[in-house]
Amino acid sequence: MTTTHERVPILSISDLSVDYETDYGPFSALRGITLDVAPGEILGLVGESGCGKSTLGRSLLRLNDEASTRYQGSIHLDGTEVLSLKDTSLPSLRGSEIAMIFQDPLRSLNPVFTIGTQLKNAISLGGITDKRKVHAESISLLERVGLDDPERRLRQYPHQLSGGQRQRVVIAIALAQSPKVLVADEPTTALDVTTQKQILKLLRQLCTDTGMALIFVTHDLAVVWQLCDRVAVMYFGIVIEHGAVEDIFDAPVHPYTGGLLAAVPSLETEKGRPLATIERRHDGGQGGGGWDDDSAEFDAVSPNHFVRKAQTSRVDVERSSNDC
Amino acid sequence: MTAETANDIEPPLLSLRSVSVDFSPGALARMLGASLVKAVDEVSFDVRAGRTFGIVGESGSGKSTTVRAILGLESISSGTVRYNGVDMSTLRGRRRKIAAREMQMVFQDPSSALNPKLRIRHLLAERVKIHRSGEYGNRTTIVRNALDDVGLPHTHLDRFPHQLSGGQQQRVVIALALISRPRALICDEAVSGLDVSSQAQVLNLLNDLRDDRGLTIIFITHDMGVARYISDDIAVMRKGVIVEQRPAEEIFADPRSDYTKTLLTAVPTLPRTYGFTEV
Repeated sequence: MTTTHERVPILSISDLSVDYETDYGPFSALRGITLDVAPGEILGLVGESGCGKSTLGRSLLRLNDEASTRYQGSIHLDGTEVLSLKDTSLPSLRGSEIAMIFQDPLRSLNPVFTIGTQLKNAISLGGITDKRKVHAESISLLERVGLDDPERRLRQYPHQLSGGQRQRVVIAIALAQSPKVLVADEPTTALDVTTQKQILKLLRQLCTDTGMALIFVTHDLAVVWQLCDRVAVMYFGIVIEHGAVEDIFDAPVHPYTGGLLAAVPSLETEKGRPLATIERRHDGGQGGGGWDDDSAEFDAVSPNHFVRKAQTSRVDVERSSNDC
Repeated sequence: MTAETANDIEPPLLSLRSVSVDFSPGALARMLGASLVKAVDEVSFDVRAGRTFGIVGESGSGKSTTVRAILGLESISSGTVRYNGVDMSTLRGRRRKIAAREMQMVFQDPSSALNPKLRIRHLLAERVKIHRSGEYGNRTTIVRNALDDVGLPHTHLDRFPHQLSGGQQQRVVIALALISRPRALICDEAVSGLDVSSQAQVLNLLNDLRDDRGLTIIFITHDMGVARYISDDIAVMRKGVIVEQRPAEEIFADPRSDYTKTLLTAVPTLPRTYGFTEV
């Protein structure tokens, strides 16, 4: 795994805040996010629903509805400032610099076109025009994502493939223009465990082979432990603890991180013992659980482990089963 | 009603013998060469009262179809389902209704199980009207008790479902089921859509209900960690067949079937167990 000393980030997010305009006034979805990811590295974004992890993933590609979204701070991707790009230059960013895959592969694929049509379309967007080259490239992409019999797959429609195969096709399309960063938003949540294992292995291998950086959004801490190099734990729109996976899973400092870990029923959890539960002060996340300061100050626990300063009492990790 | 040859002194609350559910293709599909799909194939198991019976398996393994067949939501092609020693297919009228009331279902997505237009108070009162109409005058007390049972504060009575978190919504669904005074709760992926902390709340609640009131729980899940944590007995299903069926501890300590082993090795695990003391 890469150490901080020699890391040269390909993507740096600094002091990023994202606000949504809603009918009830502005809603602060992300505040003071500072993170980076280096080539070949896998960064896990983990947290519960509504914590802003998907918003962060989408913001990296500027996929949020621009009419009602306000960005502050900066997203620096390999020398480009994503937030200052004009709308017209976004298509050249998406796909070739940074790509994204989503939870449900069926919704990412068009049901009325064959795999071949969709994959070749993505390849020709990258500038390859010669039909034979496009075909050869599409075969090699399908082979890279581990699909057998690629010639036949190209002629098939999405409904003819299993969930795992579809997700492989989606990954192939995302890789078509060799992006430097891939954002994966819960790509294995809808899959069975055995399929999930294969997809995780594939993603890890792609990062090692091509030096692509992967940002893996998930709610599953066990998956983070299996796959990621670094992790950022998010809560109500802020990062509360981040650093190397080993350090954080070895000794979680923030009570919320500890609570999340203790809430997972693993294969070793003692059966009679109630699981840890976390009660939120504010339902739905409005008001942000009480972090008033927007400063992103972190204490360094170790060179690879940072935890947000103070204000830790806002999270209640409960010992009893279902008190409110 | 014939007497079942039971090994145990106490007969099981629910007993399935060689239950099969077939999905036959329509006329057009038959012409195109589609054949019969055996969604559930000769499944037999006993669920004893006051225990949690887990059914695990991957998507398409027939676990949901099995419990839907128990409730009569799918028609059984062959085999028998006995509830309390009585063949379910012979039950008619009032006795069928009682059986239906006593087995309550909890589904995966609580937000689609709750009417979005009704406040929690009215949702719960409606259930009193349906299943305990004789006590409708006491509905306020019954509704409040039900909320107490699932550990939600009374202030939630005036809220709408969308104002609650997923875990709280699922607890309202369980409160609804409890008003019907069930003997068995059938949970189909009841915690799969929830965050880990909400999932923990619901799992803790189900364990309490089983321990304190002797509620029988049938728990379908694809999550091996959850299955192990909550179940006393587990059946592992694959392609409509039960491949392994033993007490939970034994299955996880010493899986016998290859499929169970494959499933267990595929589960992503944390480096260690985390307790409260370390928090």
